[in-house]
Order: sequence, then C-alpha cells, then structure tokens
Amino acid sequence: METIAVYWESRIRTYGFHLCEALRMCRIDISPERMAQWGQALQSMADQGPVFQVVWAQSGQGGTARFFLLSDETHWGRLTPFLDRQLAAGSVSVMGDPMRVDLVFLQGPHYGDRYGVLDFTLTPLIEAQIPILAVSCSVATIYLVLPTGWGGQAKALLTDAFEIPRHVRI
Amino acid sequence: MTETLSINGLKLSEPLALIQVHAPHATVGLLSPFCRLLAQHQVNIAFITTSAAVDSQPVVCCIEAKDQSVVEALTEQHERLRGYVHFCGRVGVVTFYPHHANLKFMGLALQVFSRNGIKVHALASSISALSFVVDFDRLEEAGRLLVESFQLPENASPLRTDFKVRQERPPV
Repeated sequence: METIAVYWESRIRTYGFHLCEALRMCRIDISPERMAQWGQALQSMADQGPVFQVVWAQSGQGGTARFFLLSDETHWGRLTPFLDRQLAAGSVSVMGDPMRVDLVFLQGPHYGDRYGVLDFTLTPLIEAQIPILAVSCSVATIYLVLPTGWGGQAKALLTDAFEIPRHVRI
Repeated sequence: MTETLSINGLKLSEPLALIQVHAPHATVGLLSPFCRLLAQHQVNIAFITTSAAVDSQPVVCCIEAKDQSVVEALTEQHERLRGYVHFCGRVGVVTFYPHHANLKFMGLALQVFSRNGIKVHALASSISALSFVVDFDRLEEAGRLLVESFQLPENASPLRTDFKVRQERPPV
C-alpha cells in the first residue's frame, strides 16, 4: 500500500549542509566499448582507492560517458597515477587539467520527492551572480560545484535561505 | 580476483521520463528557467545533473512519467526553453547504498551493466548512495544483476518506492 505524507514548509529545512573548499574536479571520458574495462580497472585499485566527494556521469555524443569526479588534494594525488595508467592504456580520455573547485552540498529530507527545492537553492545564487560550474542531485542530496573561492559566499546565501536546525554542523 | 563488496540495500524507482536540455554553449543558462518552470507546476525532480566545466554538458533530468505531457507542453510554450528540451524515453533509477565513497562500488556496477548490455544514461552519487539511470524495461534486470554481484543482507531484494511525499500549501 502506498503511504502519502502531505506537508508544507514555508521555508525549506535542510538536515545537512556542507562546504568543501579547494577540491579537484576532473572529467574523464569513456567510450561505450571501454566501459566494462573501466569498471574492472576501478575495482582493481589497491585498498579502497581514492575517496571521492562526489561523482556523476552522463552519456554524451556517440554514447561516450562523461564522468565528473571530485576529490580532495590528498585523494587526487592517489587518483592521478591510476588515471595516468588508464590514459597510457588508452582506456580513458582525461579532459584538461583538474579544476580547483568548491563544493556546497545539502540534503533531505525527500528532496527528490518535493518540487521546487532545486529552484529554491539556485535562486539566491543566480540573483547574486555566483557562477555555478555543475549541479548534481540524486536521492535527497543537492551538490553545487563552484569555482574555488566562491563557496563561502554561496554558503552565506544558502544558510540565509534554508532553515537549518541548530544541531546541523556547518 | 576481485573482492566481494557488501551493500545494505537497493531501490528501484517508478517509471520516469528522461529529459535532456541542451543549447550549444548556453546550457547552464537554461538550468534556472527549467527548474523554475518545474517548480511553478509542482513537478518533482527525481534526478538531475549538468556541468558547464570544461565544456557545456546537457542538463540530464528525470521526472515522473505521468508529468511528461504537461512538461512537454510547457517547455514548447516557454520563450527560452522552446526547442532545447528533448524527451528521451522511459527510464528508471536503480540506487544502491552505501557506496563508502569507494570507486570500486561504481566500478563493479558499471562492469556488470556493460557486460549485460544495460546502457547507463547517467549516474550520480548522493551522500551515501549511488544511482544509475537505465532504460525502464531493463530496470528489474539491473536490480537483479546488482543483487547477484554485491553481497547483500540475507533475503534482501530490491525495494520499490512505497512512500510518497507531497507538498501542499495549508488552506488559508
């Protein structure tokens, strides 16, 4: 049986709000015929491999998948030799040098089920002309990628816009 | 020999409409009007990604399938969005958790999907889960393949959404 909860918040509440500054973001392109090989290569990394902050991908022209991966400096240092090996093997294309970015992310509850949450998030940033490099939202998490140095201003605007319970550490 | 990776569970979405919003060199400028339009008409966004880094990537978005005809009509009438919004068929989202911020989990899922001819239209991490957008007619199979490939708690099976949240303004 389906259960439906109906409610209204005049000011949207968030249960997690984070800012990570000076991350590295890279784009990795994988052709469809190399996807299984890429998957296997990721599994073969020693130990856990580099920790990612966020990853997303979308299919582009000719079925090539474009992966966007963000990690901190330490883990980027561990990812680079792996990517270099994949590049040398012709498994992947790495597009340009990794960019330095800030990442703002917030979550839940039920953001994917509630209309207007992303619009509510973007509006103060766009009004303040904050440049947005990327957006990725799934389940109940909203990730915003900004050029490095812009995260603090975005955080100030969004903490004004959202209701953030006191126990949520920012 | 690859190690066994453990997850706690996975979820399958309802049928969704896959949308791409793309204008050469200007896609990121369409993100805000597109989200505003969906918000004004109370359309939920189940999944969305886009990037203007390196070069302009389409907005890839999933909405409930039942909302497609309304959104099609609205975007055709919209001054800035007209001609740039493309509906790309029925998809579903399979989500597993947790990913432990470990790329091996994504690697295993990509390998399994690729070897079985399941096209991944998009994927995205959330704080603890990884979601894959696949054709809706392969969604059940995608879930089954993940159950077979990862180690799950005993008797675990893919969950269907059985809980919905709806926002309504209280009566004045």
